[in-house]
Amino acid sequence: MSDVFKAIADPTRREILLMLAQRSENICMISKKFQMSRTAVSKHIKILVDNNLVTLQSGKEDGRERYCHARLEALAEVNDYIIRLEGFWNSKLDGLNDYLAKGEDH
Amino acid sequence: MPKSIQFTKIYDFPVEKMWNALTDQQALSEWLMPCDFLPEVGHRFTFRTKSYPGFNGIVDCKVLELKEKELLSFSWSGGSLSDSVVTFRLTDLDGKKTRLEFEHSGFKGLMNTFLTRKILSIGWKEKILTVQLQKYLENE
Repeated sequence: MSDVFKAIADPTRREILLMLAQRSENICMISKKFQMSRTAVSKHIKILVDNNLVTLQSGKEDGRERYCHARLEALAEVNDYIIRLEGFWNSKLDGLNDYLAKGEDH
Repeated sequence: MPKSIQFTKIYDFPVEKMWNALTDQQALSEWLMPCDFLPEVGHRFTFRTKSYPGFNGIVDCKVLELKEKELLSFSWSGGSLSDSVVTFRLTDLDGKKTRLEFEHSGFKGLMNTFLTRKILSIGWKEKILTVQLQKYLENE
């Protein structure tokens, strides 16, 4: 199950995500910057990818090295959906009042 | 913190009328969405409305709980939602007014997380990379 906040509960993953939010990087650059093994970085990236917060794309010059892009709009999409759903129910529940009021007139 | 959408509203109508509006197929079809609801626990029914990208306009439901003039709940599956739960709780206030406690709960994944921690607000998309996410992460 996808869970963004579990994905960024880990401080290292938060830092990685923030870094990627400013500039896309490949695993190698991330591992240098964080002084971590590529395996460890890959694990973190996998969790971010699984939660739709990061996408992987092949680099321009070197097709083998994949670049990690932050995909923060995933968060915004979910937020928009909730706002719409709240709006839907709020207007329907107000409509219920109108429906009941209409019945009074008969 | 509740992981749901909630509203409490007071209606200037007696609980009997409210109950009827919630459990009568024609009434529900009028104020909510066209449906084939029946007030029987276990009854499966659908709401049908306009479709839009990502939603075929059909909500599949099943009556979960029914307590005369007090409680109605049904499952709600459609669009991005599967097996969420809609609950209406009625309280007779003075024979003339009724309190409705509405809840839409049982969200999974991202939606559930967002409902528990509303870090996002309007304008978020513009600010996300600079201010808000940073602030949230620092306070975490």
